[in-house]
Amino acid sequence: MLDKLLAIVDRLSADAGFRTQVQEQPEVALASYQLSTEEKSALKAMLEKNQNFVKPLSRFWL
Amino acid sequence: MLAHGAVVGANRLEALQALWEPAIPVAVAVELLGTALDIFDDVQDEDGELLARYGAPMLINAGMALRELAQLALADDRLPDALQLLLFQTFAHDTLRAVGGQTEDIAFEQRSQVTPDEALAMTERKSGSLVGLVYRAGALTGAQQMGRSAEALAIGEHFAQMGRNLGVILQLENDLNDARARTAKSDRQRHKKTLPLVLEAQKATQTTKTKRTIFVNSAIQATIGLYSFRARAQLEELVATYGVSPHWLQWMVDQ
Repeated sequence: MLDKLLAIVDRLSADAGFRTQVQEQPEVALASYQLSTEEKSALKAMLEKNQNFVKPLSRFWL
Repeated sequence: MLAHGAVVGANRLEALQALWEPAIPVAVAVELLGTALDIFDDVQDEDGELLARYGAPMLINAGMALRELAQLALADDRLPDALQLLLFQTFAHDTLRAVGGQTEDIAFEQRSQVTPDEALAMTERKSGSLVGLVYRAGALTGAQQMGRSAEALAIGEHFAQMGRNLGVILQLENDLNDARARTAKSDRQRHKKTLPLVLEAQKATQTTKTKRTIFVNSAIQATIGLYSFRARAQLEELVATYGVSPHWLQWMVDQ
């Protein structure tokens, strides 16, 4: 049940290009995962809440 | 005019009191059962101030007494017979579901590996069932009092589903806080397989501690987002299907 969400969170934490694409074109970046409505909502909530994926802690991903 | 207003107000208050009074024994029963299960949990986890002060034999006895008092609270004259029967069944079924989850939780301590889905399913049974019980019991009582007995079971199940999702959210937040703790009685020390600890173990050899922490926090936030979405969807369904007033429910979901 959590497979896709965990895979995306994992990739977000390791792939800077993917992070940028998710920020700029989420529909395109996540298309291959074929997320359900609730999975999209969950991911959106996490990205909005967790600013670690944006700038403040971006150095940790490098 | 003023006297007439006072009489009308008093009558309304009496009507309102008649409406909510049956909820009191149900709320008392829920509190007693919840406290009993908390005590049993402390004994099973060998944790808590009460255990240190009174010891396991005394706590088990107290828990059993509270469990019986919960049953007695439901045998209150203010509750119609049909509702009492429904509540007894609800308390029994949902508690058994939670006990099943608790059994898995304890058994997982002996396993070296548990998948995230297994950990989440255990959380749903262990904690979701109990919050589901609280919501179902309140909904059954409310439906009865509003003269909607025929729909009570369906309304109760809708509320229970929403409660189960909210219960998972509360437990995940609790588990995440505990995963950050480094106390002697923490979930980590007891080899618990909460979702945060399972996710952390999966990354144990792959990344730095900081990256692991961010991964776990983010994954838990995404999972909480999933259950929030479900709870909100159930709230909307309740409003659309049964015309339930959304205001206080919305407040609870927002918390």
